Amino acid sequence: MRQLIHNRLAAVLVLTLCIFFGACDSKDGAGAGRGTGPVSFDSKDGGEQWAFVRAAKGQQVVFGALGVTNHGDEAATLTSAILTGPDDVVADEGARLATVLVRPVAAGADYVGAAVWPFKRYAEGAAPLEGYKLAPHATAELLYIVNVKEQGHWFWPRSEVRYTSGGKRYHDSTSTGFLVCPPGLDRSCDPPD
Amino acid sequence: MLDEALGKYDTTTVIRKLNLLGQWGLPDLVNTDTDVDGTGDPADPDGGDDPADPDPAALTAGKASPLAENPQAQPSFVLTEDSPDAAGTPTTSGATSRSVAAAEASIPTYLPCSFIVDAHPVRSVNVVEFHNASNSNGKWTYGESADTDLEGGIDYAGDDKGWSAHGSGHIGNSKGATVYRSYSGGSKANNYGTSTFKYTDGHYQGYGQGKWCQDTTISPGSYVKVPGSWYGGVGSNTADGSEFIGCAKSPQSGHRNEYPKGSGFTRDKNSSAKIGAAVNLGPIKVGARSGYSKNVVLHWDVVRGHGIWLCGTNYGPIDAGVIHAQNQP
Repeated sequence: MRQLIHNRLAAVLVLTLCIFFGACDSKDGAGAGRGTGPVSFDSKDGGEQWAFVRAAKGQQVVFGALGVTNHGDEAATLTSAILTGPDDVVADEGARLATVLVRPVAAGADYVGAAVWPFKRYAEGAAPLEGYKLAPHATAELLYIVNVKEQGHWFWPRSEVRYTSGGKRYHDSTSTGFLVCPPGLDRSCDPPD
Repeated sequence: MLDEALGKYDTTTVIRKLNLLGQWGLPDLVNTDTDVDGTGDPADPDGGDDPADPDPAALTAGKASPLAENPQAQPSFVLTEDSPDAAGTPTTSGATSRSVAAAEASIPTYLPCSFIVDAHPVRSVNVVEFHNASNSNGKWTYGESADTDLEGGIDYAGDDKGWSAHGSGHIGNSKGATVYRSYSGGSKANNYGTSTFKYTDGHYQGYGQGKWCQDTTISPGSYVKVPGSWYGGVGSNTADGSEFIGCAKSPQSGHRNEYPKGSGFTRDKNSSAKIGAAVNLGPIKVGARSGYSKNVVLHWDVVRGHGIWLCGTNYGPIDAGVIHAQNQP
């Protein structure tokens, strides 16, 4: 009986936290998968590809090959973006996502595929992603800034963005990822086996 | 109705069209039957007897086409002298016309055929269009689990003049091998990467009289060239369409990514654009589309200079079917 009460209390607690933090997702909310909301990555999901950069311990690098577009008729609020590994496990042992910036882009603007950060003038006009209002039909480049804590091969095969629109939460992800390799141009930069 | 003045049957209200198989079609103005292909399926008026798209299986195996399951329902109109399209047909009398019609009507629609293999040539096929700039080491790989859709060719007339692209054969790679071509040390590339595939060239030989080989939409005497299997090897060519266009000019300049020295890009799995003239079958060139999958890789590693741009013509390099490359100034 005591165990049953504990189980019920645990269930109520989980549900409360769930509602409070917004982690419980309905079919039309976050976790509903790609294409259910108005904002999406500009790259198709399904193909496997990645940008890569070589970096030494202590350097920051940027992955900026991806743009997101708000295809809806009202502004969307970006809430977070992450790089994920296989099976959506974040692989950040030796390199950690420090921040994600949003850079508004006009039609025809260059993107930075991958580079040591800061890179050229890409930081100018960029804003933190959290809370960024993406206007209807606007496109923005996402700049994933990664701290390289340890020299090595660090690979995130997928990218993800989360946002709210019309009072609902959504996310989108794509199979374009990011690879960090140790310095040395004489060695090929390939994902770890 | 017999036109007394002209001494032949009046056909002015009947318009007949000769199709690619030499058949006379029903006049459109009076045909209310939606089952115009004669397959017995009014919901599929195009199914079954489209001479421009015969069943590839029938070509490769020389067996019955599943699209011609009801051969007796196929239209069988004979050429008569009073047909408006029969310009060169002698016109004498109605009696002669009827006798000619009767004679031609006696020719069966179908006849038994054999598929004769003439050769198994190995042909070079463009499997990818690849561009590399001198600031990067580039590489394309074609191999294990690579898939390619290849078109074949057919000459219905058998006169070596009327070749057309025919169907699309899916060629998987079960050899477990990999071939690649790399460009390093400042080598640029603007070309088609090639590998070789084994084909079956052959023709349909008929026995007796008839318009089509039994249960198919293939006329006797048709020649075909059908892709078979991957044969291996690697090469390149600079045929039309593979020229350098770079990323500096529009429209590519609006769809590009920057990659400085020390960075790069790898496409491991995606779908490339169809290459318009992927393989030269001799009489014609037909297309191919290669899907990138494991071990079918496009790779750019920027190791010198001021970096490169990667771009597409209508999309950025992440989504472009063909990725172009150019050194940054």
